[in-house]
Amino acid sequence: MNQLFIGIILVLGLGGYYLYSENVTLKENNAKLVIAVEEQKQVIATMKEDMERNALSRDNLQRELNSAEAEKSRYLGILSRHNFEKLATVKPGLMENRFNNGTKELFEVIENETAKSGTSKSTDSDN
Amino acid sequence: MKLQNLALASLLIAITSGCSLLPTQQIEIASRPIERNIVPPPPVRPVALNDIQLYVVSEAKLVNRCNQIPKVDADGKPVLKQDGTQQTTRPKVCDQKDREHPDWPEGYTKKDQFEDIIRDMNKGDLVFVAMTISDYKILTENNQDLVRWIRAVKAQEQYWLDITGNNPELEKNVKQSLESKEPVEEKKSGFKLPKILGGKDE
Repeated sequence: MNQLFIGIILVLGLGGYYLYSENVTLKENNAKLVIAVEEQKQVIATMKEDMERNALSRDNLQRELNSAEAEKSRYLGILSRHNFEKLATVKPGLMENRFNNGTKELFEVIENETAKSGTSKSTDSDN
Repeated sequence: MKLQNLALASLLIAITSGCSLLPTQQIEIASRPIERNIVPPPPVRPVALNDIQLYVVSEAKLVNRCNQIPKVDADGKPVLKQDGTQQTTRPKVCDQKDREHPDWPEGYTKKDQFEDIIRDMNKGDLVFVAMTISDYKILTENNQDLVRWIRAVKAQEQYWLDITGNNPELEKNVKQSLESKEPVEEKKSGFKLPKILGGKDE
């Protein structure tokens, strides 16, 4: 009878130890999973931020491209609306001033556009 | 025989328990954030353009106005302005020497002036590059298309700076936008169910 009890106690003891060690492992796993979830939350937040940044950047880009197209269309409209041949024949001095001023303005626009550096903090390579 | 039964029993237990008696595998998770380090290239040196002089040439006669002379009244007395200085007038008829450009002969045209300017520049030779008005229009259109392209490229450059986080202004906007999209927390009511009835601890 005693042998039976000793056997039962041994089995229970071994079983208890096994369950305890299992519990320790599961706790460790749980802690790691909590950390993993936190990391995933951070990843999701970063992805949301990236998406928002991309959307805003894309909007800005589209706006700038549309502006460039509109500016060109405006100039082409001016060219198509006026009869330069007639004006130049009758008032060559006036048209000469306009052509020269327009060319100067165009050169300034190109210089200004190429001089605009982005918002980066990189150094100028003007040397 | 006993050993065989024991082995069979062990095998049976292992199969029916779905290997649950095997030791639990520990999960190893190793996540390391990778810092983005995209350094934009240095900007390219901007263009420096020199001015050019265009001449519009036609056979229109140039206006050679008379020089201004002091204005006098009917009695021959000088007419003064409010500030005391003498008023001037520009007569419609005058001698050639009294004109703004006394060296211009009668009927001097824009074409004549252009030829004189070119001959002065080239030691008496008449040589120049000419362009028709329609070609000038085409040149202007081409230039405007180049400007459009430059602006588009600059916009694309700015786009890359923006998406790589090199635009502090945009970063502010991103944060503001994200904050505005955050869900608003529900207001908790003051009522709290007792724990004994299934209420939760705060």
